[in-house]
Amino acid sequence: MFNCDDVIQLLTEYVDSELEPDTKALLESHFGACPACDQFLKSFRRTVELTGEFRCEDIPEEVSIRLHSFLEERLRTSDQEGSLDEG
Amino acid sequence: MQIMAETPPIESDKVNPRPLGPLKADNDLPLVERVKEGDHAAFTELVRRYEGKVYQLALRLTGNDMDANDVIQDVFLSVFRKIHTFRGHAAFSSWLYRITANAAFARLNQRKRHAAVSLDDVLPIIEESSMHEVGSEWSQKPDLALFNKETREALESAIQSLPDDFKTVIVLRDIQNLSNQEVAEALNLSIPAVKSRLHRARLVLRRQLGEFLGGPG
Repeated sequence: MFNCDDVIQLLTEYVDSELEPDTKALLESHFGACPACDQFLKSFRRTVELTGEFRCEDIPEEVSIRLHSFLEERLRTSDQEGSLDEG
Repeated sequence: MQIMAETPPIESDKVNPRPLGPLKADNDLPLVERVKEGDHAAFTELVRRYEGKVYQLALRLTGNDMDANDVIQDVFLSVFRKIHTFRGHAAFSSWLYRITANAAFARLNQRKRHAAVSLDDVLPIIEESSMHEVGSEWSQKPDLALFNKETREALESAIQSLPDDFKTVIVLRDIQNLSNQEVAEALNLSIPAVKSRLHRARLVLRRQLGEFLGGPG
């Protein structure tokens, strides 16, 4: 059986579905019996979900344009000089 | 700025140094080989493939648009200059992320303005607190925490305040959605080290988000 301290240590592996089935079952049994741990799990999982929301953010168009312009200039200079500038 | 392409590890794994493995099957390798031959179109394609991820990582590590913009230019310039040193023992993306993280930290060191707290300063508070605390709105109804402007800013601030080594893991795992294996390769860590840092960082973010949302995390 797990105590609450054991459970908190295993939360990342549980949320990431990395636990063996037996261990996972023991944890879920604990969550069913311990409202505080169950709440902790929910807020922990929600934190991971919210952090993942940043994934949807793409590079700003102006940054991309500036990047490609910068690299094109450097590559053009390297072609002309036969080597890439140290810059 | 000198950026080593076959870069020294960001963080050496003291317990289990990672040996070079066999060449990796990597979807990027055909493009990489063309870039090595001087194919500019292939390089442009490679940049387009990764510019978003590199920018995201640079932004999260440096904490501001200006530095992230400079870092991303430095990174891809370095990639083109040093592509011949990439040997394929790790995934190209791992190599690229390592260059990015090193470049971002070098930029921060130049500015000498990052002063993230030690995780150990924060986590003893978390680990000593009782799990059986009075439920806050956050812990009772976490789904109410929306990704709105205020939450986003609070979470950004919390991520920024993480120590660099933990911040990198959080960004690569939870934002970039890399696997533990990929993060381990990028940062030259063991997988247990990645998981340990990830877990501790998530605990900190959870607590800080809880404080922002009101009440004890």
